[in-house]
Amino acid sequence: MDAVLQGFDLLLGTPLAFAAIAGVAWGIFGGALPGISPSISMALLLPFTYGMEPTSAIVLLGSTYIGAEYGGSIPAILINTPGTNAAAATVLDGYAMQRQGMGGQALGISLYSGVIGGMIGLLMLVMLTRPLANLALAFTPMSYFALGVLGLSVIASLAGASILKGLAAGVLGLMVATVGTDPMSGVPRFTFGQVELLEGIAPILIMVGLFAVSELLRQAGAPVRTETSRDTARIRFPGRRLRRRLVKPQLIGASIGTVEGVIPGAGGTIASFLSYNEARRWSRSKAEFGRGSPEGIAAPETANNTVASTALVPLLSFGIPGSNSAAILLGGLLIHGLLPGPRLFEENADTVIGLYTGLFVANLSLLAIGTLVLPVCLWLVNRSRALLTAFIYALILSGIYTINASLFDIGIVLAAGAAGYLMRLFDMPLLPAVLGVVLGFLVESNYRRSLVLSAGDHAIFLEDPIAVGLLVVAVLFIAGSLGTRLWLAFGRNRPAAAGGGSSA
Amino acid sequence: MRRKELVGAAVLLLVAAGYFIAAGDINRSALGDEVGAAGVPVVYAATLAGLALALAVKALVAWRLNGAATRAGSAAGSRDSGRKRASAGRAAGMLGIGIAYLAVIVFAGYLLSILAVIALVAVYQGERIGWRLAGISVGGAVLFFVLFDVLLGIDMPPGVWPMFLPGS
Repeated sequence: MDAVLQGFDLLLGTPLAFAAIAGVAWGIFGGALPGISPSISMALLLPFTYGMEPTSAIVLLGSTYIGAEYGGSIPAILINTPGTNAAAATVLDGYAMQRQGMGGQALGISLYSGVIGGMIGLLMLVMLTRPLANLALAFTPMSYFALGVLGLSVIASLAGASILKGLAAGVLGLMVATVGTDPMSGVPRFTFGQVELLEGIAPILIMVGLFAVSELLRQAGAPVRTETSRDTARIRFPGRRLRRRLVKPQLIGASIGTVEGVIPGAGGTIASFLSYNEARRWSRSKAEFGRGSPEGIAAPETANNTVASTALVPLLSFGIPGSNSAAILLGGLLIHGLLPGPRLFEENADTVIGLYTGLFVANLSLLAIGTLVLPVCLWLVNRSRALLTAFIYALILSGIYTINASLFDIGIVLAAGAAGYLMRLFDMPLLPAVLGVVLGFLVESNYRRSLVLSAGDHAIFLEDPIAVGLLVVAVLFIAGSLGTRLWLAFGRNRPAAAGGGSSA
Repeated sequence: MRRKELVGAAVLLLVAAGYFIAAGDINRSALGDEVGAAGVPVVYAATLAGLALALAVKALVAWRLNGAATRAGSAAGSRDSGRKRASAGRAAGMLGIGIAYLAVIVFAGYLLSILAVIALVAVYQGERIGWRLAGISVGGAVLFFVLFDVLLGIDMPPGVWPMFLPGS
């Protein structure tokens, strides 16, 4: 109750509500533009958060994530083009409803289900994060090293088609993390005489470069052509009877979204498609799916908005970003000197309560903001892609400078963008590289501290029960991912699998 | 496809080699621990080199197994690689605009440089040159200047222009 009152105080005493509403609006615009993912929308905001009060900055980023998840469904429903990966499942029935003249209702179902999913996700976030974080109070350097290894083990499930490429991307990130002053001896490493590199390369620069700049470079190479919409759709929220029908798919979406969000690396896209399939399996109107079923919109939209909150569980508890968007949010926390884990809850309780309150306001305001900004989204979706790209590039070049008033930083972002483009060219996933950059210092410094404690004996890692537990989980995680890959490879070689999977 | 995999593996191997050589230049410190400042980087370099070799071997094995199919599809493959080269060239051009911005901002100042970025990128992406684009570019540049320099209070690079102001 105290926390609720404290949250209410924070809401009135700081520009928290403004940050939540602004974040939701920005997120909806970003999500509505095909090619601009939630993480890119957040990355574009990162430089602006530098000068902000920490709680408002984190709320702004978290709310952008929430807004973008709904925003992605707008072009999915109106022009058959998902604004975000997670909205791909919404295309199936959303666009079908639009073609039947029910686009407004499809948008209403998406928005309403998104709010329900967001609220359930927030509840799970509040319930799960603190107990998990308390575990980290007993952490030693060995446990922190093992935690870093556990974080890196997520690469196994993020690697995409080739686990070798995922691992290589992770090592590249770890290499970037070694630039700067050595954590133990204070010797400069890989600085090549540049004073600007002595403090290392800030993860934010790598994130903006890898996610946002490389995407612009990709789009420059293969310009995106999207349909336009002359629609003037108005949102129509579901009536009582339809709301009752949507309860089951929403519960399915929220359950799957909770599990997928808490597991690092799973993400909103998988949650959306799993929810869609499960909703169809449990539906009384299976035949309607793919032809404009309201349940086919409710399930994935509830799931991806649940993930927007539950993906913060491993991030806030242990500092493990399980998705691109969570990695950007981690960048926001680090900019303000906030380290995730139990200390965050002890030393910056205001920030955590403020984040929860802000996310509550963001989810609530999604209903109003989503309705209000729809005409602007329609206008944006129909703008020239060339002008949008120009403004986004200008925003990145300007925004990065504001962090340290340094042109050197812009150079690093452009270099990271070029590296990201090459990685995309060679089909290497980007998130493992970000994980490497973020976790590199944690892994190396605690590995070496542990060896100092044990006079070089590696057996110390097996003497710490938490470290052993985390390392076992990491091994299980990797084994599980490899097992899934083998199973899928085996399944793919089978002749025409039975069952009717939806063709997205 | 196989060539792309081999080129990717070669690039990774080069990165690993360069990083390994640079790790050799790291000074030893009397305060250092047993692992040393260069210890972990050397492990990373070796790991990346190992992964690059594994990728190369995998590509070569696949090439040998599917050699006939690959040769049959070589005409389509060369068309595809031509498209990819053109696409990479356009991406390089976009990156070049960013690098040019870095080079001129010190002299031209933020306002003019960002105006040029907006106009150049828009034209590069297919926007027609005309008064409309000029207006949008000027409006955008002023908007960014007001946002960053005036409202957020960041001193954006002024360029050489203040030198020509009376009293400077």
